[in-house]
Amino acid sequence: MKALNSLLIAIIFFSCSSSNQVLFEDNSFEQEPIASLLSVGAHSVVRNSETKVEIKSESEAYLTVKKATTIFKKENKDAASLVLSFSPLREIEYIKANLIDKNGNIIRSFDESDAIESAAFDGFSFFSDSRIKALDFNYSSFPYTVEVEYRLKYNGVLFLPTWYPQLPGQGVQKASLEVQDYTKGVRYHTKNIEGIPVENNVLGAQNLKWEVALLTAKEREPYGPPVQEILPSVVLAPSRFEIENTRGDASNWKDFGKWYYSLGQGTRKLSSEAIREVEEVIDGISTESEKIKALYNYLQDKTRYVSIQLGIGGWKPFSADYVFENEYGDCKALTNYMQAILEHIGVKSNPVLIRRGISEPAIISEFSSNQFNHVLLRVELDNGDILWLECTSKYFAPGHIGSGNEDRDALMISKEGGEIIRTPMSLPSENISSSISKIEISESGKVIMSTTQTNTGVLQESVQYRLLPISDAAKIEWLENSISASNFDVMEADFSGIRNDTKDVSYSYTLDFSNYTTTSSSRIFVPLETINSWSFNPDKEVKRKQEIWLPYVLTEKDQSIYVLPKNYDIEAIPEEAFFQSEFANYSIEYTINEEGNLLLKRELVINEKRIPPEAYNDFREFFMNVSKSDSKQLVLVKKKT
Amino acid sequence: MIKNTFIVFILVVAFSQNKVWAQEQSFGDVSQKIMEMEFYEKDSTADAVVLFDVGEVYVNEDLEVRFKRKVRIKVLTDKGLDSGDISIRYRDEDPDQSISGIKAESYYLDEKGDFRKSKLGRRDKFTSEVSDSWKEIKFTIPGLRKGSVFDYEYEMKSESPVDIPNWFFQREYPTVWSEYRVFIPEWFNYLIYTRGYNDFTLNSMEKYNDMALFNNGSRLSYQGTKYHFIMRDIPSIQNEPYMSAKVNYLSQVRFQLSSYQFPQQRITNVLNTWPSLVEAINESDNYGKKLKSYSNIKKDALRVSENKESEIDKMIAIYDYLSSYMKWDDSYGLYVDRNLDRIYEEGTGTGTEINLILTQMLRDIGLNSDPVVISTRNNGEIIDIYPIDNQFNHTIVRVKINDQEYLLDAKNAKRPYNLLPVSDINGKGLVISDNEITEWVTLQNNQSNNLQSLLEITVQPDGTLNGDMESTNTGFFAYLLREAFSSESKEDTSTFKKLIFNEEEKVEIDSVRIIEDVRTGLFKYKMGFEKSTESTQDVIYINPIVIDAITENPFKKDVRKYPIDYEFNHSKTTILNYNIPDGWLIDETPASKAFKLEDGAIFYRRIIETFDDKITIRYDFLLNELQFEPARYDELKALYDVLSKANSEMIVLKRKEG
Repeated sequence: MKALNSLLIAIIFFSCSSSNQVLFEDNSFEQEPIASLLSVGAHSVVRNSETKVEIKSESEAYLTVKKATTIFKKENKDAASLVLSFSPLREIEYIKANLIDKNGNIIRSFDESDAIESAAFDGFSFFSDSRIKALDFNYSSFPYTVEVEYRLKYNGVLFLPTWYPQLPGQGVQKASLEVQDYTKGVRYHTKNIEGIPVENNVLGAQNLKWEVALLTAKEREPYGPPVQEILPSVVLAPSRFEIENTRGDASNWKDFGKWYYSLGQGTRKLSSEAIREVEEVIDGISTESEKIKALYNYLQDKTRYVSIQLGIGGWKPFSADYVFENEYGDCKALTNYMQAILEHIGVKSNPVLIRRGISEPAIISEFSSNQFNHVLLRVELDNGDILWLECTSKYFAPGHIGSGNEDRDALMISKEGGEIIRTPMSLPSENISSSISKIEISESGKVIMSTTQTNTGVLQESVQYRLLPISDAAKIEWLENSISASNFDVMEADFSGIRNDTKDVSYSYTLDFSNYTTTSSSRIFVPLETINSWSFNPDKEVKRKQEIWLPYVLTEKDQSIYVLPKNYDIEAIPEEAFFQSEFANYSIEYTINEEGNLLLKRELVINEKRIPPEAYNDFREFFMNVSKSDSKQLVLVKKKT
Repeated sequence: MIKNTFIVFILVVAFSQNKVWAQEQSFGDVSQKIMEMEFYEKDSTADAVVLFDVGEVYVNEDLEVRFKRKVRIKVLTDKGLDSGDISIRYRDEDPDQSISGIKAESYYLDEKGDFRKSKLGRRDKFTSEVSDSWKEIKFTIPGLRKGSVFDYEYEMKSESPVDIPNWFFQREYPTVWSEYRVFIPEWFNYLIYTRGYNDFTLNSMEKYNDMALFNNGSRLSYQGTKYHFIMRDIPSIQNEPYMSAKVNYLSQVRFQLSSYQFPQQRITNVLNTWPSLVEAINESDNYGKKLKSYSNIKKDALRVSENKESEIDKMIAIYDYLSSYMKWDDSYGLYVDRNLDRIYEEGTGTGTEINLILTQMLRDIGLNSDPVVISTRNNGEIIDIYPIDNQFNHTIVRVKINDQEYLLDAKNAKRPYNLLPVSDINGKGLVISDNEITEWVTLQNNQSNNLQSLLEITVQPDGTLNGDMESTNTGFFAYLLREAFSSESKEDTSTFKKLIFNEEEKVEIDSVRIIEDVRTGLFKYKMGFEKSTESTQDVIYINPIVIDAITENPFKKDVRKYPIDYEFNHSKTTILNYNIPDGWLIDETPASKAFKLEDGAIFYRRIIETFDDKITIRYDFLLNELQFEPARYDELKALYDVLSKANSEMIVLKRKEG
């Protein structure tokens, strides 16, 4: 979907002129910018920026941006670059730019013909009609200033721009956003911006204006939230809108949902051939939930995810018929197809619009607007149970919602309209990575290791995505490459426990190592590592300002038994360790059993995925302690004779 | 244009050579055995297998190239579904290419064993511009699942006879049958180039006779040559450690038009000779003609070099100045659009742009300097028989001072003048000058790359190691460290830890200090550090090779088909002195060890000496060769086994009893 694109565009995109005329009348760029902005490490400074959004009607809007940015070092020259994405729904009207030296002289002017055009690459679409025009500014004498001015025409006001007055690491002298709205329906939501806009009504338009000044630079801190959470922004959204011959109202979630619902109307008719296949799948299955599971598996086998984004295609699903015929589609098409299948067997389901992604910012639930990048299907069973179907996944078990979809607000679509709901969050006890190993050490230090690894919850996903798409022989190759020793043979490997219809995935293997341990004339050194061992060495941070965002909560459990050679004694064994914190607990124990073998038991539970900034040093220390504790060794020494 | 001269003479009507698709089958004609195949016997890891890939080209009397291609692929895994995302690129300008006749179908057997078929819809193809001169048609095969077989075909027509497509027999999926047939009338002469690590099943050339028809009704019989190449059972090609550009290894055939001659006409040469190519580049408005005096460049060249006495010092001063003044835009390319003064003013440029400015600056102060065009490592090796400019993608500079030659590349700020980057070390470069003889220069560095570290380590009774390290580096090692030191902030030493130490999580760095940094020579620094060890009340265990030790064998596969390529020759020496605390004894130390390849191309040695209160370890590693043939893979693999094992061997200290 394009929802996210429009957000990012506003962050990345700037602009530019060709008339050898300064764009800002009052340009005093020869003066140094205000020192306080530079002192806190800004790599560039926006001297002045004026953004104007004119909403002429429900189907027509304009964005005009005029901006001057001063660059101080060649490493940071990209902060003045202009990258504009355009498509049939967003056209570039003009681009102008000037490059101004430190004495205020225009060195060079640019226009749209100087920009380089290319296809927009969003990283996942097989085909998209979005394209990009980019202008790069180079000058060798610092500082210099780039003035840009551009104007975009929006064909339809659903995708109004979001205003970001600064880039990460950039200072701002002054910046303004002006909205002139003839539809009188525009709404806004501000983040990290103080104060309220100046409002008035002149010439039949509703006018809003924000001004900011002297903004210091902000950067994303390691493991911190995404930049959208940190930077100041004003999100704009229409009330009534018109786009590619459809009309809708975004002023409340209910009506916005109605519009989305209407896009799918008439696209869910199944052909008789499609119906026949559905009937075959459920033939002989009696319960509702078993039917749904069988049909979801049928969808997973039959179709694959291919993203094709054309015009409003970013929103309107390809028909169920198209998916049936071609056996591919994007998230909307596959979800719509699944919904059609369930409709046919009389099961009610709802598409749910969501902003998917572990590191994506949350949507603003109280601000109805286009904030989504994905859709999935929510099925309510007769007994009231909810089943989530991620229709783009070939591998999730029926009902597995996925780490990128869990624990976030989303918009459920029904005939009655849209409704904000919360997706479920998984618990540490549901996301388990557990290993059970037996390590047999011979007199010569050679090792035979048998391991069974089981993953549940969100921790299944990476195993499924890595191993289910490839052949059995390739799985063994993967195993060989994932083990950091070179001298070993795979004696046995069993991947049959990795499936797409169970609550956990598991695999096991037996390896014969000639160099697992290190030996000397009288000793054997055995690393006490497990599959889940950490190696984490984050930097110190003195003044942490941002929360730590971890992808999910989890539990790691390891149990290893080391069968020791008979004519060796244990010389050194690590001490047990326990670490506790607000966000995680860790323990590792070593015991000698009756047969004289070593038993290792390790457990790590991460129970919070948002950790406050003041706990950063605790967080760092905790995981460094875990890393140290996970890299201990056992020393065996030959028995004295 | 070639085309115009000929069109006067002949207009095409037909071309009657009978070209039957020989080996491949028609759409949908797939055997039951192939439909039911679950994995590919010759490579059971394959995600898909190309059952056939057949191309046929003919050049007609209208000087057009027509290229038809037919492909059949069997999808074996879900990952193999990606093989159904098809992209066909073609050129949009001078000479124009066009794509037509795209057809695609897929087939699978349903649960009942019935044959099911899906066809690519007419509207499901997308065309987009890739760049100013290239377009692309994309489509995704419909109805595709694990186990499917699909066919697709298309035709490419080009307005120019230079456009016979290169044919690659090898790709990311294994290929059962790859065939290329090229029909060339007697009027054209092509230079044919083949390479690769797989044998041809067929590589033949035969004459055929045919008739050309003209629009005035007349006929002309002519002879042509049919080139026919077949390869079978070609393995997929994957990245492996220490492997240079894949394009050097792919089995391939290329056709390059060198001349043509029509009846009653003179021969027309299309392809340059090397001397004429040098002349063409030297005369090009987008290359040689850019080299002229520009006031801003000259002014700075004179200013930067004015206080230097010797020509060498002047050269170095200009190199140092320009390499830090210009920012490389991370791109390569042979030709230059804008004038050098503008690029200079902007301070950012491609590799060629920066080095043309360097050539000009050196000429401005009277030094004998010429640009040298090269192909970077990733761009593949130079093909000797093709004097064509598109083999080159970068420029460096050759300077001659008193019979001494220097090769300079000013694209990186911290690299000294006497060190070419690894990406440049790729065979030979062609000097672009007014000279009448064609000059090639060998791309190599004469500097040695040495790393010498001396570590004085005091073992504390609690097992902590307190270390002082002094490290002297030359060549690439000096350059790498110089870069690391300049990007590292004062407070944060994690980059150093990762770069220098093994078991970085056990290391704390106390102090780091640069002692000497001669840009053209050595880089010397001191570092104080502390490392924890595993120890008990009475025993201390030390993994003694604390820095720069290879602990993992990079070669994991059993066999290697392609050569092993290293980036630069080097020698490393580390001397570690361990001082044992009072009251402790040395219980065990590893044995001294040495290993070398038969011809001495790699040498490894570790000598350990023990004294009462001291252990001295000297560790040497020497690499004398850059490339090893695949036949030597086992030897190399064995060497790394010894090395990685030796590097983890331990020292044990024991508390004295009583």
